[in-house]
Amino acid sequence: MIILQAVVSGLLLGGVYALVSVGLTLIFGVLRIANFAHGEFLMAGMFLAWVLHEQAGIDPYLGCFIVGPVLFAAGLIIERLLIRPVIKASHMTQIFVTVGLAVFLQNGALMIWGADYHSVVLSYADTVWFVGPVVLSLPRVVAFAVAMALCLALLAFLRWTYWGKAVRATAEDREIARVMGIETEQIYAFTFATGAALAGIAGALLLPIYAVSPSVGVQFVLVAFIVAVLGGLGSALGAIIAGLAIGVVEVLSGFLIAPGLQQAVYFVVFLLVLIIRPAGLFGRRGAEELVVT
Amino acid sequence: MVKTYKSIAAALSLALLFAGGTAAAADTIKIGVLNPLSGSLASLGNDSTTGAEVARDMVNERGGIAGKQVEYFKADAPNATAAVTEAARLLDQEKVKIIIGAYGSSISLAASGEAEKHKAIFWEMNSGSLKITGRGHRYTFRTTLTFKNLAEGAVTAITQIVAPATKMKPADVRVVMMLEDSAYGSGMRPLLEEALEKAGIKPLAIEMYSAKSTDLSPLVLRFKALKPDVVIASSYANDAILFVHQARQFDLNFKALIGTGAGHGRPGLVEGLGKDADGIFTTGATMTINSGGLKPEAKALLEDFEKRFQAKAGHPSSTHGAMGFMGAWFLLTEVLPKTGGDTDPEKVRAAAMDASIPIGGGINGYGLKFDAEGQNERSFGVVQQWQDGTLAAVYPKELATAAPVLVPLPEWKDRPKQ
Repeated sequence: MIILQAVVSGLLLGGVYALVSVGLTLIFGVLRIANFAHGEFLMAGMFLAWVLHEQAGIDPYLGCFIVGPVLFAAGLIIERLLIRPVIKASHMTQIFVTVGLAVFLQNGALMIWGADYHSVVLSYADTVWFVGPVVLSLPRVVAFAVAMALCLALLAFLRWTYWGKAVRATAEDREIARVMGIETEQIYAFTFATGAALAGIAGALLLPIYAVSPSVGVQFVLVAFIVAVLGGLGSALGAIIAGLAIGVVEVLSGFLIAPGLQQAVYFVVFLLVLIIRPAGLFGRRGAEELVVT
Repeated sequence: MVKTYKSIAAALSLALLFAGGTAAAADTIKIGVLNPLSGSLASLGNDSTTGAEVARDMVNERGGIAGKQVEYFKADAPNATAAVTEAARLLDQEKVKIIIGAYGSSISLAASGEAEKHKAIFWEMNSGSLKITGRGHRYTFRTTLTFKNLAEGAVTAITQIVAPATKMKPADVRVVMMLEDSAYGSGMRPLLEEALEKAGIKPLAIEMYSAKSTDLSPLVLRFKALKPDVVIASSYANDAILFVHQARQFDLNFKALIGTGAGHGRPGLVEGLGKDADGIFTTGATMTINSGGLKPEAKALLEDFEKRFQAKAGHPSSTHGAMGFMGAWFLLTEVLPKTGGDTDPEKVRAAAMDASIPIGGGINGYGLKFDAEGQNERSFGVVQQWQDGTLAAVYPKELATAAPVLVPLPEWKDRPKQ
C-alpha cells in the first residue's frame, strides 16, 4: 500500500517537473538554445506569486493568471534583447548569454528580496484527501492537475493549430520553414515566451508547497534538464512522460532504498536510458545539432 | 633644464603618492570577511557579516585599535570552490593576514585550509563542523560552539524535558533521526549517535536525505511505520518546513521534534509553518537567553548591538548575526589590542591563546578560552523552543526565559488548522 502511495506522490511531483521541462525542451527544439535561465523563470514566477499574495492578498492559484502573462511578456522582451542576437552564434556564446541571464536574475532577486526563504501560510496547504489507502495533498493535486492540463493543451496546440504547426515546422527545419513563408523570428519569440510563462506558472503552483528563495530555481533546472534530455530534446510529449517517470523514480527510490539516494537513483536511470537510447525516449538522433546553411 | 625639473617634480610627486599610499595602508588593520553572501546559505551568511560589521563600527568609533582603524575586505563564498579562490584572493591580493567567517561547514573547511596553507589566521565565528578545529591547524580558531554541543543539547532536551514530561525513561523513548546529507547533517550523525548512546537511547532509524528534496513523503512514510516519540532533525530552512507540512498531511505524530539549529532556529520556520512551529525544539548558540545571567557590561553591549544591527540590516539580528558580532568583538577587543594592532599570525595566535573571558562575558553568555586545537571551550548549546512564533530558551534553567510547553505535542487531528 505504501508503494502505491509512493507512486502517487511521485506522479504528483512529476507533473510539476513535466511543466517546467516542457518549456525548456520546446525552447531547445525550436531555438536550439539550452536555456540555463529556465530555473530563474520559475523562481521569478514564485516570487511574483508570493508578492501578489503578500501585498494584494491574491491566492497563488489565481496569481497564475497574472504570473503567466507577465512572464510571457518578459519572455518576449528577453528573447528580443538577448536571445535573438545570438540565435546563430556558437553554442558557447549562447551558453554564456543564458547563464549570464540566470546569474543576473538570481542576484537581482537577492537584491530585491534578500536571501531568506519566504513562504505563504494558506488555509488549504495541509488539506488532504483520502482515496482508499492513499493520501492526496491538495496543493500537490492542484499543481499536478493544472500542470497536466497545460501540458496537454500545449500538445494539442502544437498538433492542431496553425501556430502550433508553424512551431513544429520551425523546429524541424528553420530554413525550409522560412522558405515556406513562416515568420521564424516570430516563432522564436513566441516559443521562448511560452516556455517562460510555463515555468512561471509552475513556480506559482509550487508556492503553496515550497518556500521561495533566489536560489530555488537552481534545484529545479537540473531536474528539468534531465527530464528534457531523457524525454528527447525537443520532444514535448517526451518531456511530459519523462517528468512523470522521474517523479515516480525519485519518490519510490526514496522510500524503497533510502531518502538520501532519491536524486542519485534518477541519475542512474538517466544514464541507463542514455546508454540504451542516446537520443532520449522520444528524441531523434542529431536533434542537438543544427545544420546552418 | 625646465624639462629636467619637470621630470624631477613628476618623480617626486609619484614618490609622495607611493609614500602616501603605504602610509594609508599601514594606518588600517586589514581583515578579510569571508561568508556566503549569495546562494542558498546567503541569509545566514549576510547576517554573520553584518554582525561582524557592527563590531568593526563600534571599535572604530572608539578610536580603533592602537589608534588604527579596522578595515574589512568582504568576499562572497557561496560554496567550497568559491571559498578557496576567494580566500586566496584575500590573502594574496588584498594581503590580509586574518580571515573571519565563514558560515557553512563545507565553506569554512575549504577556506580555513587555504588560510592555513598561507600561514594566516582563520577565525571561525559561526560554523560548527568538528573538523574545522580538529585538524591540527595552527592558525585556525573558533569562537562558537561545535556540532558536538548541538548534539548534546538535542539529547539533553530528551532526557531533561521530553522524558520527564511524558513520564518515560529516556531509554524507552522511541527516537528517529533525519539528517540532511551535506557536511552539516552527516557531521551531526556520529555526534548524535554518541550522545544518544551516553543517554542509553538506541535510535530506531537514522535517515539521510537531500535538503533540496521537493517531496519528503518517503521519509515521512518510513517514520510513520516506526511510531516515533521523538524526531531529531538536522535540516536547513526549506526541508525543515516541508517535513512538518508533510508530517501533518500524512498524520505522522510525535511527542517532540528536536532540531539541531540551522533551519529550525530561523524565523523562516514560523513564516512557513505559522502555529505549527510552536512546540518545536532546537539547540544551539542563541541570544534569546535570560540576560540576567550576563555580566553587566555584556548586557549593555548586547543592547547596543541589537539596536545597531536592526538599523543596519532592517531586521532584528538572528543568532548568526550575534555570533558574527561576538566572534569579531572578541578578536577586535581582546586579541588584537594585545598585539598593538599587528596582524602577524604568530603574534595574533599567541594573544589568542592568552585571552580569557569568563562565562557570561560574551553577549550570549559565552566566555572565551581556546583549547590546544583553537576551539573555544567556554561555548555551549542552549535548548530552545518555539513558543507563539518566537524562540524561548528553556534549558539550562539559569539561562531559561520560559518553561517548556506543548510536551507532548498534541496529535495533528487535535491541533487547529491554520
